[in-house]
Amino acid sequence: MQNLEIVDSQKPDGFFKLFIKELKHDKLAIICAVLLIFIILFIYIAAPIINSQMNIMQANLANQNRSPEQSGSLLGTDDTGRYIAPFLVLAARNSLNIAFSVTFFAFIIGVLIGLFSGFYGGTFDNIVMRIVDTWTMIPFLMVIIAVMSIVGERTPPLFIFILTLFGWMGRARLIRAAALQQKNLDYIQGSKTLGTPNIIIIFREMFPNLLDIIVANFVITMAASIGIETGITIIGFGLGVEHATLGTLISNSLHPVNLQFRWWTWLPAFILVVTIMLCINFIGNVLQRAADPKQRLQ
Amino acid sequence: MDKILEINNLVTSFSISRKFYPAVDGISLEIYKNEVLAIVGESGSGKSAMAMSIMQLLNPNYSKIEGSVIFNGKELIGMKEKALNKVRGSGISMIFQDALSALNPLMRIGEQIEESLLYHTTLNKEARTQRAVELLGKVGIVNPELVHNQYPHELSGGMRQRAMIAISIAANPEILIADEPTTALDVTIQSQILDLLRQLQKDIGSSIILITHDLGVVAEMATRVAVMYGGQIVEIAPVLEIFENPRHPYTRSLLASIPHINQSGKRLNAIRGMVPSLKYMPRSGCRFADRTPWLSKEIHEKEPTYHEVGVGHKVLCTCYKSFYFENEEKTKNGGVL
Amino acid sequence: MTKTIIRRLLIMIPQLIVISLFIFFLAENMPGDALTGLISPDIHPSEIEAMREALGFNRPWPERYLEWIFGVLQGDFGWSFQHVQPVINIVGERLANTVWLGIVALFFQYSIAIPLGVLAGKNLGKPIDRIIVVYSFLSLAMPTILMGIIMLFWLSPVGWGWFPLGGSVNAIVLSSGDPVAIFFNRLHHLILPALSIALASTAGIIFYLRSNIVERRNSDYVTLARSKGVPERVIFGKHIFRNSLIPIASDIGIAIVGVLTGSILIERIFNFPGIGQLFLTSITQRDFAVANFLIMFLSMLSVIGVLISDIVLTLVDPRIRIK
Repeated sequence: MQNLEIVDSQKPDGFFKLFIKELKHDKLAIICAVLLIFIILFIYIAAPIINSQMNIMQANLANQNRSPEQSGSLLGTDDTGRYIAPFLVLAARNSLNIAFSVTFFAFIIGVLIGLFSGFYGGTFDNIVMRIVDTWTMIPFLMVIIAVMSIVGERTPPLFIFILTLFGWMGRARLIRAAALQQKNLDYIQGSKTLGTPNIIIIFREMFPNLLDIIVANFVITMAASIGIETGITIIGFGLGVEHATLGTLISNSLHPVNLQFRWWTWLPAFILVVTIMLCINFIGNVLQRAADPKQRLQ
Repeated sequence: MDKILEINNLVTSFSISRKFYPAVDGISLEIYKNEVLAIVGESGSGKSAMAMSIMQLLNPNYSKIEGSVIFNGKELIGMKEKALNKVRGSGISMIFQDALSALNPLMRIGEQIEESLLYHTTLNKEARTQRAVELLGKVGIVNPELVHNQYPHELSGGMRQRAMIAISIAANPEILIADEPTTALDVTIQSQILDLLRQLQKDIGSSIILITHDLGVVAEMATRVAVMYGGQIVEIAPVLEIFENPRHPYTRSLLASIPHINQSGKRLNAIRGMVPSLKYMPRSGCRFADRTPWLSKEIHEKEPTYHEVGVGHKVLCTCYKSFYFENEEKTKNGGVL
Repeated sequence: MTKTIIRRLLIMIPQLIVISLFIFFLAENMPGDALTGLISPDIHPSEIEAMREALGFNRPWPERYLEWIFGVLQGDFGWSFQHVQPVINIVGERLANTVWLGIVALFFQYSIAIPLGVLAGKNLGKPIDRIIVVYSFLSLAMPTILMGIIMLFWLSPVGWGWFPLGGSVNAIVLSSGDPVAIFFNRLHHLILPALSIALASTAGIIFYLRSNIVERRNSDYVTLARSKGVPERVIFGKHIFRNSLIPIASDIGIAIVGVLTGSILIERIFNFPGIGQLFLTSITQRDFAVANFLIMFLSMLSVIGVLISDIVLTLVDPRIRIK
């Protein structure tokens, strides 16, 4: 047998390597990544410490509405006398937790539905997509608001549940489109002819190939989830003060006096939420470029 | 014979990770009136890049063109956009491999033909429409008025190819560059399209630069053949000469690897190894040397030049003198295949 | 094309049924009904219960569902106990406000997004493109509501005072009766909220348009057009831009729905008397007839929005038209 010399052998880079490569060329994303890591670490490390050290939630009417200078604390106090600075950290943690949970569950549902619908195709896919379409037509914001207002107790699990309920459709569409594409590729067809059970094909062969778009989209959805949750909370239909999120703080701005004269009650939270969303978006964009060869800067 | 196009030391480089690598590495060619010059090579030989370079259709952000391309006495490289656009379409035009992607899906066929007429003729709208319908008839489309108003996706593959040819010949170009015109088509339609091209060439009197990897097409259409490897022309000769008396090892290997009907029982000759990718192409010495490892390195020139071995027949590098096939060597020494 | 529309409409019917069922069940679980507002010390609860029975509120749900549907189809949208008027009366005036808000928002959205998308797509990688991309990310990171807060802060009397703090029209101007003055005053009140909604939604369009342009710029048919000697400007206008705009134009139905959803948040911030604000107040005040109606109404609009998108796509893309 002749030995075929391999003149040019270069294994294509894996997703992670591509991501790092793209990242290196995007200074802005590097700054965002560093900033974000710093913020997240700070929030998650400081929060338990704060929880154990002081009782944030305790109202202290003697201390109402002190500006930073007046109260001696970095961000002053709000109209119930709570110190904003530690409150901010706890609220940030809640925002991140909720957004992550929602994105996580929405992805599980969306990816599963998308995988199966895309893989099997045909009538099954048609029906599933019709259902997804119908579900998308329901004005989710109104329903969420309605539900949150009629329940007796606004618990985090309920909130997360209802947000997930209306958040999975986009993922399902995306994964289904990708699965449809993959389905016709030779490696899938090959496995089918070998008699591999469909479940194994879906999870062992197709799914790993979709991981890069899943990861990229996950990150971007995180940012969107933060945005939606914050919006709902600002207008007063989010969780209560015990589970305050950054939206709770920002909602202080709805009172004209706060908006105009007491910037410390809402502006820090505002800046923080926008910064976090921005950073996540920039990083998510780098991931997207790594996942989609057409968009690469190389 | 009249020379209408002269290419001198054309170097076209593409950027990979911010560095430039030549895909066309110093090509010099002449195109004469009324001839069909076939450019033969595998993918990666640079033939398509060369075709696109002539009219500068490459993306300037990722490519660099150096050298000289003189058409009818004017230098095309570095020509201003306005002047270049006058040459494109009416002096030199191009046919692409895949008609489906080469036609604007949202424009009617007629409109796309008339676009060329708009910029190269002084015909008014009615005359343009008439001419477009004529052209569609000329390329062998049966009901040209109907097709004139249709969209590309409504036509069959063969019809689309004909429509694209109609677009390219609309302004009576002197040179028609056909980039793999039949590769995407069924065999029966292939021969129809080739007949059409031959017919049109006679009618309009243009020359054709035919880019292909299919030696059958070459045999049918070409008057001259240039063989490309690794961005260089390794051999150029009149068509009969190339088939009867190939000299360069690459050309000979290409011809030897075509299966013959009487060949049963013999092992198919394959050329060892692979064409190196752009980044890893050897840039000094004979580029084909790595593909003939059973031959001594001495037969190659350090700086290969062209040698005349016949009338209009040139070969690159001296290795042609001492070349023999690998299995020839083994049988020479009494070994087993 | 008519075939596509008819097919679309046929699919829409079961979709509407499913959605209406869902909303009906949502409404079922909301405490209170049209008679809740009548509870007062004068009337004994058992009397109200009797009224309920008489009005048929205790019948099995399929009956009530069908009755609701038939009522809606005949234009009877229920009774708002809070305002003591038919729902439709209350919605009417607000609807006009929100419609105007929507129109102006859409206008801003496309007038900003399309030129920016084109600039970015044409100049990929160059400074202007990077700036536009950064701006788009900023706009992505600003959900409508945050954008609204910023606008309010900077441009209302709190900040520079160029625009009013809220409301839809100045009462004094309104009472003057001068149509031109009223028109411009309304416009003045619309700009901030509409701009907030628009700016938050431009990112998607910009990115989409930009990537469409980039994709088509490198396509074979553009190369062919160049090889014909077509001038670059025409290549961009006719071949690249037109083709890139089509998927965006067809999204208009969805954009309309998006604007209306955004209005819920924005109207709250700006105290703008539209149906968004109406929805929120009716929810907080337990006037579920109104809330219910609005949910159903917006669902209908979503469905119609998708239909419009399909129609537009069929009109402009010949590949879909001719099947």
